[in-house]
Amino acid sequence: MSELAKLSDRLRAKREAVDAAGETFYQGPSKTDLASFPPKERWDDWVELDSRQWPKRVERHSMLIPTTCFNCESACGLLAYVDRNTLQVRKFEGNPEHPGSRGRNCAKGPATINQVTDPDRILHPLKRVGPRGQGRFERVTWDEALRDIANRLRTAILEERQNEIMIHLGRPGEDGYTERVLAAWGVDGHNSHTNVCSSGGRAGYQYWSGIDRPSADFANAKVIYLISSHLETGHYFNPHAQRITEARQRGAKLIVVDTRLSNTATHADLWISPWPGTEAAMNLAFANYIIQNDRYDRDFVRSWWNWQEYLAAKAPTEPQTFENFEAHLKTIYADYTLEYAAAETRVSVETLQEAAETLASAGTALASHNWRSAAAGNLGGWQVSRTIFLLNALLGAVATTGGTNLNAWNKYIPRPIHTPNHPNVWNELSWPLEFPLAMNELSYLLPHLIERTGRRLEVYMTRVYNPVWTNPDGFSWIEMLLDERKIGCYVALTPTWNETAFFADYILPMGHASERHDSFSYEQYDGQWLGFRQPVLKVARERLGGRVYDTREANPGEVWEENEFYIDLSWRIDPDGSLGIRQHFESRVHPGSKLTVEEYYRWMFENSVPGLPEAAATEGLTPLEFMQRYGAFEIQNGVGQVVAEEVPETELSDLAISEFGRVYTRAPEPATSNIVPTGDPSPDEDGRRPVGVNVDGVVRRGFPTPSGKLEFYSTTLASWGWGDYATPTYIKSHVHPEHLTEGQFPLISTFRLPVQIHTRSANSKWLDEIAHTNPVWINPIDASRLTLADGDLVRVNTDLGYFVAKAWVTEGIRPGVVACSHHMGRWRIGDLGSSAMMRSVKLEKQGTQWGLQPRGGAEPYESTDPDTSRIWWTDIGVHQNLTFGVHPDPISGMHCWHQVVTITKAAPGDSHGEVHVDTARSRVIFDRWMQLTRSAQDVSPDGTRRPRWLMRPLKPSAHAFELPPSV
Amino acid sequence: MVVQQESNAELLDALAEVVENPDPHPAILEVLELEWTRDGFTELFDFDLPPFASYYLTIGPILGGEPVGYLRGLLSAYLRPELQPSQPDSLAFLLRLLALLLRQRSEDRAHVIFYEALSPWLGTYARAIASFAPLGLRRIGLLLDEVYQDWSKTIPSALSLPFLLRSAPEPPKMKDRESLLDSLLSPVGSGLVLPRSELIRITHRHGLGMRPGGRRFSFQSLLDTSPGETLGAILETVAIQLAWYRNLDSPIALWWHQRLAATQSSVTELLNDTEWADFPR
Ligand code: SF4
Repeated sequence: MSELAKLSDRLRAKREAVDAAGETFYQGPSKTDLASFPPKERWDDWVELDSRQWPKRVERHSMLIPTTCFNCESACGLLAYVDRNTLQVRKFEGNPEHPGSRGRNCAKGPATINQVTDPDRILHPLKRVGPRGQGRFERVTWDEALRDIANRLRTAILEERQNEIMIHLGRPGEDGYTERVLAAWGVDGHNSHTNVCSSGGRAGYQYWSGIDRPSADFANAKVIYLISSHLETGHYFNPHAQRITEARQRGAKLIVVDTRLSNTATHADLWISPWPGTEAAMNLAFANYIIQNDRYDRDFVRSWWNWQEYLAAKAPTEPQTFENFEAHLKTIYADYTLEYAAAETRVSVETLQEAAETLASAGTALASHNWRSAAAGNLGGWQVSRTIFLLNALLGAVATTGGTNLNAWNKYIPRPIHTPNHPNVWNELSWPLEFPLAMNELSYLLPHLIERTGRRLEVYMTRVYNPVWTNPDGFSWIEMLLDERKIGCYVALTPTWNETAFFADYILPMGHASERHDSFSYEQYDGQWLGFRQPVLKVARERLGGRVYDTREANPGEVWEENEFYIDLSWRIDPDGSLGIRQHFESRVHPGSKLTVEEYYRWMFENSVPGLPEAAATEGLTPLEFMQRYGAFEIQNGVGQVVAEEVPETELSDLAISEFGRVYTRAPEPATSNIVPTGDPSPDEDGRRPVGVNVDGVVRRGFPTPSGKLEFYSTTLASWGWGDYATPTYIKSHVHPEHLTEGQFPLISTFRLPVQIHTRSANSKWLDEIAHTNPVWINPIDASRLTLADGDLVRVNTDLGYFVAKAWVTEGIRPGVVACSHHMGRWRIGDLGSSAMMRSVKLEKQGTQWGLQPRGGAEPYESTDPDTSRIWWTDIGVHQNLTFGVHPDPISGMHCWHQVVTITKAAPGDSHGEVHVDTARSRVIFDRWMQLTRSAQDVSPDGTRRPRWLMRPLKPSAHAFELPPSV
Repeated sequence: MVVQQESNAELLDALAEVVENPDPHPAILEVLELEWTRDGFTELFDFDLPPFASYYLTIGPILGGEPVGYLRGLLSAYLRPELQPSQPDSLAFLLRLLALLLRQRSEDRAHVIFYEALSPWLGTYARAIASFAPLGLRRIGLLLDEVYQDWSKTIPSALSLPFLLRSAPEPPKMKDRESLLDSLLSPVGSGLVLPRSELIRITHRHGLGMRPGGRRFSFQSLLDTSPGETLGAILETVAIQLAWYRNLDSPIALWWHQRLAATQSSVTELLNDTEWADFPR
């Protein structure tokens, strides 16, 4: 026997002995990829060489504790490297055990360390000193702040002034958490940022399917169709981007529609740059191409569209057959030829033809996506998502492999320990009568609604949100906040300084990604996972045998997490339980005592996450310990086409079937621990619940729409006064060339830069160094007409005033359109705030005339972080949103972001970043757009304020839905 | 003719483990007689001699590129795409794959994988480890070399060079400083394996001054400050590595030997060039 053979034999013998002893002889690489990530077996004591000590080899020992990025809603997994000696977080990297992000992050994930160590961050509760808006604060205790706030909340609730309480949310934390807090308080005060964000996109999907968000199976697609800069910048969704990249590696075609040459567009096989607002016309031309060439999936359309309702409404005297519907289908979009679309979009027929053919050839593997972009920019933008989904609905590419699913089936929200009933009141400051079909609260109209109704808010809280900066018409927000008759007490819950916080009465420091608990789940592939965010220093201390009762003990300064904050606040509002609030924040293990966050998640993970207890047990862990150790759990992989599932016999009892096949049952709904929100179709007249839909004699699960099918024809839109828009159609945008005069440009202001994220990243030095300014993109043809050179200062004149910015002359934007990115032009009053990205400004007011005058730009400064003295950039862009009037879409409620502007050379004395606005003009623009609305008072078919089946974050009782008698 | 390899699956698995796991089970170290240190492992596999085929077969060198594309195609005949790792040219992966195929009694497939994916570079790599690794780990190189020799017997003599050597990039012409660096730092370009530890050794032995930094940066600093001495020292290293290829009957060994010999003459020529000092930077 040779030496090698003997060696092998010895190894085999050793292996058998070691494995028999319960140890692993060949530990192998980490589950993900060879050695791309630290294998999880070594997360307790991971050793790296300290790069700063090079060439000496000094070992650093870390505990790797998972948490979740808080910078965008993708919720990618992070691993915090907690130094075992200092118990400080050294860095953040990706968590390979996270099924969505699979160890990868965008630049903003690792930059969390900048946010945690930001020398300017808010570490203690602050209370204003002097008049509101002076930017002067003093440190107070949490107890002092909470006592005052709880007292105001309690008094308002006791005096039945519930509608004077509002929480305005920015970055989502845990799905449904704040809604449940408000429900427990009996308050309809949830105000989300969604109507400045994704309502347009959501509305289009909701009217089709009863679910407001697509879940495209990018990884398996044959054709990917994006009306967004989704891949990198638009939706900043790294988990999607990595799957799009995989699909492309396997040969999938990528079509990107974006007026601007986005980073995503640079990766496209086909980049289409339409005139802004014409995207729906283009989609309809593609649909028409598919229809006229008989390329649609006949069987899918026949089975899953509510074509019967279309015929019943539009052609009641004709044969109610599918063949007749097909004949109609051939005519409905016949005018949307490629030539028509070419004229509208100003894109060549050849390009549109190529796109149409590519899309038609995708079959059931078309992954399409629209979220913000055109849906968020235009009057009628919600038709962009409605028409993009029409393509999937035609091809049968719905919930198929490589197709587009709906998010409710690729998402899991576990039922929590307490689920209070929703309130009995209706707040017209967030749900005004003029917008019965709005997708979300009309949060950005708040200053105008308060002004118009004469109402007030006793307590207005913002949660990781910055309306003065993010929303349009920021000076109207400042006017509202400065008026103590309108806002009794403004509380800013924020991890970072922001423009709105300068006008707060209290600033309460909230935790970043590694300093708070949340659970959440997002649609990223055909599966369902649950992620866990946790305060990593608390976990680290506990792993070393310590005990931490309150996250403030482990977090920097007195930074708190929201869950504990709301539990504490709710106990203060209802200390003896007499208001019925406290019960929702009490322990089940120790009745009568305060619920701990640990118990909250222990209960959730043990009772509401299928498969987790078993998976944890195989590793000898409790479900909570499993989530603390790995940060995520995959509940299901390969969910498939839930709509087509047969409804089991046990759910079919005393059935009633409607004329169009909707099936209602008296069998009770089976218990489910997934409480993901969807449309909620009403019971039949006898109280049976909708359970499915009859498809060729089989009761299938169907969609959560009134018909149970995909609603090509929306009876809701038709019966609520918008019959013309009941089928997918094209609404000409407010920036359509027909509405422009000579010299006017549409301004695209919604796009993002890949490494910044609204207002939260201004304290990330790495990100600031990469991206810190927002010039105005202008095509060389326009620049030459206006005799502008690259870098020239320009005035961009809007409906409300103007801002002064630098011109960037680039072919990346089509002629006749200009663009300016989001994120930039951050400012501060006085010395507070981040000096790297927030310039000090002077606010000037004369009557309704406002001015924002920069005092210099970014500059180096001394702090505990030596890098702040190395800031080399001065230009941090301009805050353009201040000059935008509010543009509520009359149906979706979305703020239609695109602006009509003129561009002129800057006047002598103009300085970069300067802004001037007349808020009297704000009110004129508000009134003008309100005239487009159709009030529930005029159009409601049933005496309610809003169709009850539509989604609404808080769904008040039936009584609150009734139109008020006074109207 | 089928040759029965003696380096059976168990040894392949064990070698795979020690080239990618910084903390292998002590029992493996005991049997393989390795004096293990974690920083030695880091030094060897992260800094000096990355265990990836592409590093030895690309100009730059880079991790990835053509060799990885080729191996992906080759492996797709054996492994579903989703089972392929992101770096299919990793030595650990390839050794494990050979072990798996042996266990499945798919010797023929194992021979193909060895010939196409490992034979072009494993011999050179093994000798580099045996020469440059920290002392306690040099035995890994000796064992890899024995495995290489053993498996080389499975290559029929009639076979031509494996594809990755047939399609190997031409040596960069040493026309300026950049192409000189490209050539000398890329094993496939020069035949020379020049890890950071060898540069440090040259610096100490010849009393030169090297700026700390990446390998390319440091080597460039040596060439900037002491070009003649540096190239002279490189010729010594080339001479040592020429001796790695004693059995020139093997076309693979001959290929590497020829690249080294060509480098020897180019560098010698360069040193004799009176205009060396003006060599464009
Ligand atoms: S995509 Fe980037 S910002 Fe968003 S969660 Fe992932 S790492 Fe964070």
